[in-house]
Amino acid sequence: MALDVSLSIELLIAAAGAAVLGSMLGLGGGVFLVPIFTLFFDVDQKLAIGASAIAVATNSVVGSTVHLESRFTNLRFAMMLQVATAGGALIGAIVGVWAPERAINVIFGLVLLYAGVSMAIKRAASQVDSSSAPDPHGIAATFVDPATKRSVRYVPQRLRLGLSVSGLAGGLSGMLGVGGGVIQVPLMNVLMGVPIKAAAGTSSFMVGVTAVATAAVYYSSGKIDPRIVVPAMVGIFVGSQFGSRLTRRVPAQRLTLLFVLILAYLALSLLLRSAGYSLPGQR
Amino acid sequence: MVESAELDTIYPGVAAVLRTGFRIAAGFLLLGIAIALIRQEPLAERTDAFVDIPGALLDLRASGFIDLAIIAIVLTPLAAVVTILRGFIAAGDRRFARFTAGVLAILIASIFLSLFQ
Repeated sequence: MALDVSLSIELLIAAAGAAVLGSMLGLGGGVFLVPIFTLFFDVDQKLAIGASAIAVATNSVVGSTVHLESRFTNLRFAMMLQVATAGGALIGAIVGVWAPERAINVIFGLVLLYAGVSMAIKRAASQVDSSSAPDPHGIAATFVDPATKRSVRYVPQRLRLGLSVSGLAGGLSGMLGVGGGVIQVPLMNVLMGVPIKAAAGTSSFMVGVTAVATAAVYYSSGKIDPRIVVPAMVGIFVGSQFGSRLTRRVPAQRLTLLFVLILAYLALSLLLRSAGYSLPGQR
Repeated sequence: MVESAELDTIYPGVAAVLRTGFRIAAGFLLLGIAIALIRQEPLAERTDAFVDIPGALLDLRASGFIDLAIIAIVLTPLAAVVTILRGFIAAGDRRFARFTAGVLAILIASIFLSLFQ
């Protein structure tokens, strides 16, 4: 099949858009990339998931260096959770490669609905103050918050719950090609008492490691299509550079409403697709 | 357990590995795209088998370089985990070295599957 430059450019622009949306939300591009590729470009679902896994790895490799240098990433905590996340991703990817497309559409739609509802409900920041909590597992960490210039110490709490949910996040990541941050960040911040910057920084690093397991399974199953992966990699990289800058220019309330609507639209589209229907403008 | 002092050397090392891995992958990707455009070579529909990649590189086919770029970006987080493991071992942090070794084992198992494409 001849190189279709125009299609590659369209996929690149779509991937960049997904990355902009994802980085503004802190969700990562995969949450938007797979639905956009499958709904609007008729890309095979498994190929879209494989491409997303590679793109997520790319985004993580680029983005987490900043978090590491700022010490937002808690490596001990990350490795502890990563055992569950990577294991979940391996199983999720094996299941995802063989699962029926309709089942994946339903699961993905529900994940997007969850993300939208989470954003719509104004959740209070974590009330768990773990700054002076004991640290029996050796996973306490300290970082300097650039906004306040103050040193912040925290000790992640509820480890068993965290490991269980991390395994689930990994499973979804492997099955859907997303980074898992949509579950990991709220888990760490709200349930485990990790400050949001540390949660985002730790998650940013973890999603790349998780994506290795996913990408390897899809690679071995012949579900990595360079015609899809190349525009996805380049687009995700370019888009993520602009996303965080755009966030500062848009009022927070409008941002939330916009993304809730986008997530609801994509969720509805996938759920309808699983039932054999398509919304106007979709392939 | 002193958290900060022991890990001070690990963080910069991991960041350096990630930066290097990205640069290698980006280099291969740009090279592959350039070859594809110059030779009007269509992108492959699937990745080459590992044994075919050296031949593709020697023939200066775009697919070989693009496959290497994909492999490089996927292996970069793996290399980061190896760096973390070495750091924990050097710091005498056996507990977290075991966790990290567990993560590494899972990732290697995943990659082992891809060898039988």
